Amino acid sequence: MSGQYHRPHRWAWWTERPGYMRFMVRELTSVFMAGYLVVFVMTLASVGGGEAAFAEWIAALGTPAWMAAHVVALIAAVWHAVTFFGAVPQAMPVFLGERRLPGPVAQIVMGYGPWLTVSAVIVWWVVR
Amino acid sequence: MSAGGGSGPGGGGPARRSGEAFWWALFSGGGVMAALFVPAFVVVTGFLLPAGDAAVVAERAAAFAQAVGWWPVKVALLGVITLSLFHCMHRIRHLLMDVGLRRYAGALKLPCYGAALAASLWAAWVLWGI
Repeated sequence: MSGQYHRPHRWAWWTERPGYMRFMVRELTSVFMAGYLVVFVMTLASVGGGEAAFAEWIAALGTPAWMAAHVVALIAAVWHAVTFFGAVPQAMPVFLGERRLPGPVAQIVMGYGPWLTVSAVIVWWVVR
Repeated sequence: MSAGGGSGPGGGGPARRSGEAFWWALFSGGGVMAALFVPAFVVVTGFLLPAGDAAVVAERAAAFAQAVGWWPVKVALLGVITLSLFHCMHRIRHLLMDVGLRRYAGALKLPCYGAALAASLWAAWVLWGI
């Protein structure tokens, strides 16, 4: 980091403008997703613990506290996906010859479409 | 102030290391994996597995256990979990830098990426045991 100067600012600089706030909310989704991934591995661990351990863990997941935590995690994960795929046209512009693929088309083809497909397959796999 | 738009995922300044492209690919790959898979994972563990009467719960539990016990699924899950964790911890490190810990940018690498590595190894061990 030597040779770089960073102007000091308040730690809560992101409250100054709505745009900064949106940036912060977007970045915060990663905190909840990281936390959720730990819960997901715990779920896998309970599967490894045998049928009884898994059933016990599922019963715990049905309690209001775990349900509420999952609601928060779902909002965070969906917001991550929406903002991530929303940035596809800027982050990965696709050109067909000379013409640039229109933003919404790129978002659907490279983002929302695959997202919907993957989600549908996972849900179907469990509920079929 | 460039903090709003400028200090996104990439963090500080222009590409200056030769490994930059590799790390960028790893970071965005993790972002894609998290976006594609995590919402559905949350729906499954939070709402599909615990909801319904005992028979439905047992049926879904069996389907889930069978799915995650299949080795191609295990490999895919390990990839998704590892990449997503590194993506998240990279963003969390930059988040901490953005709220005043920029001077500890180097020191934050070990706890952040170390936690991602440790959790990934744990996931590998857990998946191996299913």
